Amino acid sequence: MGPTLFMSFFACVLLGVPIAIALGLSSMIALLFHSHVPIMVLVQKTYGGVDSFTLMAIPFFILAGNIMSFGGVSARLVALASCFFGRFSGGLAHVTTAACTFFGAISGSAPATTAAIGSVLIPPMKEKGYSKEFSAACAAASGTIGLLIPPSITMVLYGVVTGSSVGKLFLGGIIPGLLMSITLMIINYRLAKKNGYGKEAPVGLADTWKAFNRASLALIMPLIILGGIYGGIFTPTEAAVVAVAYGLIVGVFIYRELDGAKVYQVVLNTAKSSAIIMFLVATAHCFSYLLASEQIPQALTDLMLSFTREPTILLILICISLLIVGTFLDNAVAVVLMTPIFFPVIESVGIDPVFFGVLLVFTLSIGQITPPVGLCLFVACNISDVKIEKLSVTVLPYLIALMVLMLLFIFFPQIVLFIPQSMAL
Amino acid sequence: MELLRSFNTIVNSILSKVITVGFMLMTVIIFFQIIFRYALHESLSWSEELARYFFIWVTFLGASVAFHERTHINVDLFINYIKNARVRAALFLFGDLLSLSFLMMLVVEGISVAIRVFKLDQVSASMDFLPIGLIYLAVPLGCLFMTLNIIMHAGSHVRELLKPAEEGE
Repeated sequence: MGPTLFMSFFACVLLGVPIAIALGLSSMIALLFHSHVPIMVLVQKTYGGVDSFTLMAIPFFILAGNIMSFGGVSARLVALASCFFGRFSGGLAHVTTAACTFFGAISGSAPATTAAIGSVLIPPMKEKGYSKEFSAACAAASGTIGLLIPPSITMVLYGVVTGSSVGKLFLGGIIPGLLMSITLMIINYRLAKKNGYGKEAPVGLADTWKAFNRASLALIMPLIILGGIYGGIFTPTEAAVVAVAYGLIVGVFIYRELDGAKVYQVVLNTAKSSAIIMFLVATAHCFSYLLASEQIPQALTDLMLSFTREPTILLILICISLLIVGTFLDNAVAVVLMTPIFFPVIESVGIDPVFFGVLLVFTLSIGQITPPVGLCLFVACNISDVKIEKLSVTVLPYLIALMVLMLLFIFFPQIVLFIPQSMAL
Repeated sequence: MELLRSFNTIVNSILSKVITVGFMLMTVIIFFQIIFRYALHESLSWSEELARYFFIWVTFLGASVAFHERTHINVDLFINYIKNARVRAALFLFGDLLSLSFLMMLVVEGISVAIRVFKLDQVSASMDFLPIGLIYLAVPLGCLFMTLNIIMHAGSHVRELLKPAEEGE
């Protein structure tokens, strides 16, 4: 059954069939040809795949992020970031990275972060004489931080699939996310020095304080989310709804950039993008049901463990395959597809599930800027009007730096686990 | 075909409104759940369940709208290598037929699951007036709308395939 399942899945994907359909269809084919289980089970699995309250955190986090970005938050975060980082060589590039880090704390998606911050900062970068390839590469790479800094949609998916604590995963993303943003800034600085990009005029303390005040309402949101979850006040899903309510109040009454019609549009867009992810989760549930009933993850575990039981080597092997998969598949797809396959390996050698979750999300976030099909690359191409072929070359230094960072996490899991363990939930 | 096309457009614009309202309701319900628990010290027993049911309906109806707008995640990298427009249209058409086979199965089997659940008189755990069959109906109904959208899409590929043949006459 295994070969039928995988071959029909890949055949469908090559034909350009939506991944959600490919997952369900290959399950149907495998079930029809190799099993006596009634096909009705696929209806139950499809339905059961989205019948989860924790999963509902995802649409609400998407909504909160959309409300904030429509509500005029991006420009305020950019203004704040330029007060701190504009003064260094390649100032606007650092501002991009920093603003993406702030924005990642509101949004849980990498392409959304690239789009929101890139569209504000790529045009001024080009005006200041930064090459359009560099501007696009910087915005694309910085956008990936959005996946690591909580809240993160991909982490909620991982949490639901493996039954790990979403709260701990969020905490685990904080240090890697910040390290990511420091690493990207180092690359920005080196490239800016090499190409002779200038700096911005330093901003005085009074103006910095003003910018901080203007952006502060947006910066409080992650504190509400994280504080609410760790204080045991809300479940992650409820925290996401509180974030929505907070975003609405700020956008409508304080920033006054949202009205009824805009809110309607934002909710409609969110409902659609949430449905796309959830339909995928639903049919992936069929696929992973067949994987499990055929004990394919178990077979893979035995195979991998017959080579080595050394956790570090296993993690490197897994991360390499995740990098390859992440290049071709969207990260939501990759999580629901790959997690059930690799999770038994992780469990059987005693690797911490929270550590693996963060590492998996980090590795897949690299996939967002890996040519030829990184989603962040496409978004940045559109904004900056460059060809993907050219951008693929310019983004390389960022890509290599992030892979080095990935190795660092593999060798020193404590970097990831420090916060979740010291908070001892 | 034209009639079907305009019918389909109307259906999808109605569905867009339905999912927007459904999404708003599900947000409001959870918001009330929090308010009731902290401000009024009274936990609602039905809110989580009801919101989850809205979520399921929004998912399957919204997935249908996404088929209309062709926004489902797919990988068209390989198929775009094929330069011959007719071959590409034929492959797309084949892909559409494959999609249809899965979705139609969900429609047919989904209806029989829903009927079975209705017959069992299974009701919601916290709202005993709400038959669970109503929630199960989201799968076949959503997939039915998806089927309609894919048929419309397949129609455009059929036209693409027929076009050069007419020129040759």
